Amino acid sequence: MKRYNTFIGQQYLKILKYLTDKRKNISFDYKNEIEKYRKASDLKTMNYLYEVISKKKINIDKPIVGYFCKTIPEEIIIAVGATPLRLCNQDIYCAEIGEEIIPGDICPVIKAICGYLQNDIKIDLLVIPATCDGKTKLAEILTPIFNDRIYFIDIPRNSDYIENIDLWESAYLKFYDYLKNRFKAKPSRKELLSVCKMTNKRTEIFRKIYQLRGEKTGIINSFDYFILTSASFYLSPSDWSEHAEILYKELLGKVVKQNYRKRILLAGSPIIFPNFKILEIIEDSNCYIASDILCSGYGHLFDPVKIDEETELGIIRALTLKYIAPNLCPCFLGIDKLLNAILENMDKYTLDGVVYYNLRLCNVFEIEIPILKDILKNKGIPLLVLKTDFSREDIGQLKTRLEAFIEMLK
Amino acid sequence: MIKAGIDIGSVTTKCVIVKDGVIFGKAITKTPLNIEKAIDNVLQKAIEEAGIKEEEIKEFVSTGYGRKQCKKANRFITEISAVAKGGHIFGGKKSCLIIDVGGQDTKVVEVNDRGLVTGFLMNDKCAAGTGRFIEIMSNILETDINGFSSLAMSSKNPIKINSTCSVFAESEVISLITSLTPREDIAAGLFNSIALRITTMVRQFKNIDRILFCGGGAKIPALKYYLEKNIEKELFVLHEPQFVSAYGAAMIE
Repeated sequence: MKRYNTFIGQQYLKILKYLTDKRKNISFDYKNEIEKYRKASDLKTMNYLYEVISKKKINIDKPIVGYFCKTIPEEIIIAVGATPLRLCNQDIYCAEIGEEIIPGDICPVIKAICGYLQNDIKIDLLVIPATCDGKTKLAEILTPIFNDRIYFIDIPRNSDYIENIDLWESAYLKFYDYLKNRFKAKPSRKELLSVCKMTNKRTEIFRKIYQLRGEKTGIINSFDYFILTSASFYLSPSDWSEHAEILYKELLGKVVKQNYRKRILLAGSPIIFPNFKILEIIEDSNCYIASDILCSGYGHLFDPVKIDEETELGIIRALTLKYIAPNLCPCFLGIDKLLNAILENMDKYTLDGVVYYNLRLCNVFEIEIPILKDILKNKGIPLLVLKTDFSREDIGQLKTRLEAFIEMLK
Repeated sequence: MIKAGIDIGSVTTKCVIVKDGVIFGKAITKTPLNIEKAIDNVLQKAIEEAGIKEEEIKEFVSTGYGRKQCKKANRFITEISAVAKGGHIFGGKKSCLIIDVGGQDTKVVEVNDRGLVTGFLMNDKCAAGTGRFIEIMSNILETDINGFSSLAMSSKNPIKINSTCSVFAESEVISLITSLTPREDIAAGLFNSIALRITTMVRQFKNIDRILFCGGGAKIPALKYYLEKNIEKELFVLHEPQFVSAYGAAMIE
């Protein structure tokens, strides 16, 4: 991304310097914020996971490869001996800082990412996929800070795998070669395979928790669940699996005390700590999120690597099928996948309705709504759209909407 | 059985005393910062009008955005369910679409023949297309809401106003004033822009044969006129439009 440097003047670098200083003055401490949710938890194992989030526990012994979006294959990053760190961020303070670099009607997640990168986590390589317009431009905007430490993956936005598999494959292979050169590593086929096994193990345990949550109302509250999924951004797959396994055992023995009024499916924009506003509204209305299909939870952990051919190419091919083919993100072509995921979950867990969270200014989520409304109406599935951003002034109105929706379900 | 329904809206608080489905007493007041006080105030007035004692009230249901603040209430329901129930009874117990233009919210609620909500839409978090917007605009035109409405009705040549955001509309209106556009044409244009906004909400529902109109907005003739013009359907303004939600709350089973 070096060539952009010439376009971006010294003035801009000065702004960045000013922002870095400003960032230091804002408390980046999640302690108070997280305590609110930790108190609501009745699971012992969660304590550690809350700590992972509040202290941002990552393995800094290895080089850190920061990335955005669920389309980046963690397996090949781990195979070259680096630590993958998903940087998707929804911190309102980070978004405010990001606003000074990217003002205007831009998605708050992009702003938050931009602000977040001003903090002191040392990132050796930043991987940015072309999954949405905001991220694509972010690659340019961040060039003055990261210089040659940015890698841009161009991913075609048609997730029809028969048509596009070759394109994805070449993008991933190019990325893999780049990583090998950059970190001077030559992972063997077996090493890559063993990493895939590790993430598959993680998928396996995640699916068990996902299913248990859908089947037993009240077994895990939504804060705990999203802390659990967010923790996978920081922890290595094996560490995460280890704790999730203990959590699963604890869940099996748990006696549910809380009574929930309705069981819903949460779809739409991602939910990442500390922006748990939608979860607060849903929990406050005594509604149980029995299932979700968000890219920050389900999307990040649900799909396994299914290897047909145990060659390097075969593994890369399997990775594209894990990361891109089942993508439910509205940036991609293929709303049929989203609909199928919704219908499958509704049916499997006998849910009362769908809550679709639409993050303001992430316009693609909004584009989908009319189609979604139409099809779900025909199927007799109630749908509520909650459109909002990170700010808290509309909590009252959103609650009214959700409660009216619950009353409608009765 | 005597029941009380109280609707704590963003601008006004309403109370209705209902005996066997009939309104015996009702009262309305501005919602002050002290919500408790407003509740006591309207309740006392309504009780006086009904000629009963407070102990006789068997059930007390609150609705509206301040519903949780009402300590006397045995039940809380959202204003969506309340307006659906009230509108359904007032409107002759048939399936219908209810437009409720309130202070900070505009709701469009689809109700089936049993009085149950089958779908609803609310305006976004800004004040566009709500009572608040009408109030702000009448201030800019240096008149009250009634005057604003009559101005709009007297216009022969409504201008087109694109903005429904109260902040942007204000600057648009001011620039129109400075370009010597007649006040009545601006007023008409403003009502038309609000009506357009609500019409897009209405158009999202398929069954729009029977449309009821309530909330404080239903008392403004110009709003009704421009809504009917845009939706191309007659609107039935409910009896005592501001009390529909309070009545619906009292009547909820």
